[in-house]
Amino acid sequence: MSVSRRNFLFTTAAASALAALGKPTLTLAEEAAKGGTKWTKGVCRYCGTGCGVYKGTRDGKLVMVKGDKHNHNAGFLCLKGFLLPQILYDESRLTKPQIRNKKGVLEDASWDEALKLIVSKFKGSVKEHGADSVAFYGSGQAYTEETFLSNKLFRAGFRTNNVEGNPRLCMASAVGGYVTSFGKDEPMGNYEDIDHADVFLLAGSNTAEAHPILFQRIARRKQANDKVKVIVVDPRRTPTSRLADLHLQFKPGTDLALFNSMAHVLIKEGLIDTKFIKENLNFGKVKKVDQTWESYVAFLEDYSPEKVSKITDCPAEQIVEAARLFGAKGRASMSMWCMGLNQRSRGVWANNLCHNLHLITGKIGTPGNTPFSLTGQPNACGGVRDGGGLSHLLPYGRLAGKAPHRAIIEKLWDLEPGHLPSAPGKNAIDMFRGLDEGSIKCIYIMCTNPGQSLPNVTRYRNGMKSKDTFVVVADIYPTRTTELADVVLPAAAWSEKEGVFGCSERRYQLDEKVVEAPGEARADFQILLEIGKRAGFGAMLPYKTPADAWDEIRKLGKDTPYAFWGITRERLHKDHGVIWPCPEEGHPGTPRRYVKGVDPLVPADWPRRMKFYGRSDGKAIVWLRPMAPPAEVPDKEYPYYLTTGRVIEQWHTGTMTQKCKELKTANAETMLELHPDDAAALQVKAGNGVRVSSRRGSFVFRANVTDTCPAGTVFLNMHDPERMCNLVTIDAYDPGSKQPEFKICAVKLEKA
Amino acid sequence: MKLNRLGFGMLLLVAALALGTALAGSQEPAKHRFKMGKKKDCIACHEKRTPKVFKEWFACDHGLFNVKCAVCHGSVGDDFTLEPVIARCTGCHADQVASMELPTMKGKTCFTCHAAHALSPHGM
Repeated sequence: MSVSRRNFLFTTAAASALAALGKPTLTLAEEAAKGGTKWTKGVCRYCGTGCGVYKGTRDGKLVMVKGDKHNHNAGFLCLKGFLLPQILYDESRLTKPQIRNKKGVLEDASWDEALKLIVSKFKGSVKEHGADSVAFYGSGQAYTEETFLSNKLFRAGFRTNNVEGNPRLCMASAVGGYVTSFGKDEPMGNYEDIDHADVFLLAGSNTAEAHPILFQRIARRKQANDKVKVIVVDPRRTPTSRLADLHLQFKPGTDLALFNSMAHVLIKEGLIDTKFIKENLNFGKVKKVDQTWESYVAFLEDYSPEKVSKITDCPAEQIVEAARLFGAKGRASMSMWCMGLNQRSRGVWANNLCHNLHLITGKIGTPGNTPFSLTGQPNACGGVRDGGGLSHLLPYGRLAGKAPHRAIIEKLWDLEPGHLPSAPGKNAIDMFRGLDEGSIKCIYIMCTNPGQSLPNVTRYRNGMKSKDTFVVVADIYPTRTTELADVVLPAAAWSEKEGVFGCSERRYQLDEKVVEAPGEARADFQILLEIGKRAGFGAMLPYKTPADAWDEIRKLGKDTPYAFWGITRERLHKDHGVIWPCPEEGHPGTPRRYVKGVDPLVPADWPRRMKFYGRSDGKAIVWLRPMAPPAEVPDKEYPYYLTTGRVIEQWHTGTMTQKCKELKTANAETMLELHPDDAAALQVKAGNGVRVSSRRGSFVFRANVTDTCPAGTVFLNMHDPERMCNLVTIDAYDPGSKQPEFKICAVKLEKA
Repeated sequence: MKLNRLGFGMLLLVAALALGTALAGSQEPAKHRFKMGKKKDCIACHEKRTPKVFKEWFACDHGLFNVKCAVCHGSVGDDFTLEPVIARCTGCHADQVASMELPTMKGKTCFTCHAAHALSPHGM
């Protein structure tokens, strides 16, 4: 008898016992299994992978979610996706508007009362303090139509560029990297590249936990071909490292030197594509494109593996091996990265240096050869980055600071010339600093939780709860931000409204409404529309539903490098997403941008295999970026590095995952990952309280004694609303992207 | 690994006892044995308390892909089940779950062929 037979007997016995016990409490899944379930196509609510789902409804209730086998995820979902129905049905759902009374308590109000108050406060502030005294802070979780509407309402209506979103906290450095290296934002490859890659460089990405379905695809690629190699570049050992043939563990913040050193080795060992370099690349330093291949090679002389080993604490042989694996001739290399490169005070540079590796080896634009930034939210790419929901942007690659770009949008929106504001808007951190310092009086926060998610959060919580500011929050549950608000609006959740999500691979897909919102909750699109009408901007917002706005949105992208005119509403209903550029109806979409013969925006007679058409000469730029330390490094007083990240069971600030009964007790407490040597030095045992203090704040976390981080580095996840890592993180930000350095700060530890 | 006759007999005895207890009339569903006061990862305990189960899970694709305990067994609350209800497999394996309705599958569950935790294809 084999083990399997024993297991068979045991499970059979257990099943029989359970059958006799009577059914346990019915789960939503079991409800769905009872039959009569209607299935509707949609998109997962969580990360930027954008997995296709089918939503199962019975008797007006969402009872089940299953993977869409016709979409890129091939029917698979991670453990959060499967449990999605529960995010709608917690008893704490917001179902009525609330206004904070004179005693400081939120009390129920009518929609009319709440909207009247909002409009009078915002209009009053514009009149008294100017348009830039009001602001909008949106989300990479809002639908494209919602971000579009907020953009138009605030820029064209209230006439301020203070339109910002939480992708500033997660993706702004990736934007900066793509724009500076290639001329336009967004990755050029797609998920199918995973199936062609021979080498994966996973840098600053815990793919296994933050993007589980992409990790699964990488793992399946490796399982199918034992010559596939995975290089993980991360100061911490994570579940992603399980797949690593080579794990480069380095001192936080020194990966700039590490990437330059890999480039150094690639050149020294001839693992470069001279023809591609000659035909397709320019070279730049600081902000000027005034360098040469020779000056780049000379610049890299400072980054020998031996020298960089001393900076990074990463063995020189590992740097050499990583370069050899990445640069091997005839093999396809795909890099993927996420917050580890982006949430940095030199995040744009880190992105540039990753792009450099692809550019000098020519490992770009063919199947499996691509630099691919992973995205944390379902519509950070499609809604906020593409749609222009950041303060410096206008829709589809235009810049708020450029008069010709404003003129294009003014024409498309039928506005008088000069109507759109020229004064720059504030980035996320400066926006909340403005609230704290008094320059911003009113803010509308939609579908995000800055009262927990901003770094150095105490400072910004003070600004939000000040009696001198007026804060509106639209959300589905009470959060650490609604507790600071003057008005709380009950919003419809995912599946209670419809809209478009655009994921990391430029795939736009429709997420369908399948159930009604509870109580008086309304879709964000309808709330914004009503505010616009009451504020007197109704004529410029002639829509009733998100579908009404879609053709205008398509028109905004027409004749731009983002072209998606071919992605009609009808097609979105029918298809499992379409990857842009898709300039005409009937166009199949574009798997790889900038590639002649593949991308419709590259002319057929272009003389080279790629055209980086975001740049006037069609060439990409290799940037000479030196090693630069993080904004804060350990010293005598604060001797440890703190780094932050994610766990698979939770998502962002936990407002949804902690409504799922399977997840609210699973890895839901943020604990301090502490190396055994550091624990011993502090006389701390597993489960003991440890006070973590930075120059900004302090909190006691229980210790998880583990060697996932090297001694001297500790880790906290970002999810727990009761134990916020952002009480201690730093709000220094990248001078280019304005993205804060959540990933690195200096702390001291004391046994509590 | 082989089971000797004594082991097999013990297993049958355990199964019979479990069934007998169940038939005794309790209406309570299976409960997680320990109250989970702390918000821990299941693995924090199960790596030590049920090492064989942990190792089998960790070594298979579910372990590699972080398809963790709660996906199949539910939470540690009222919906906890020792033997997963196959509807819980639907999220990723909808076609396979649907195929369990076929006449040839009568009387079987996913785990009839896919050994629990290791979940190797067809008992291999």
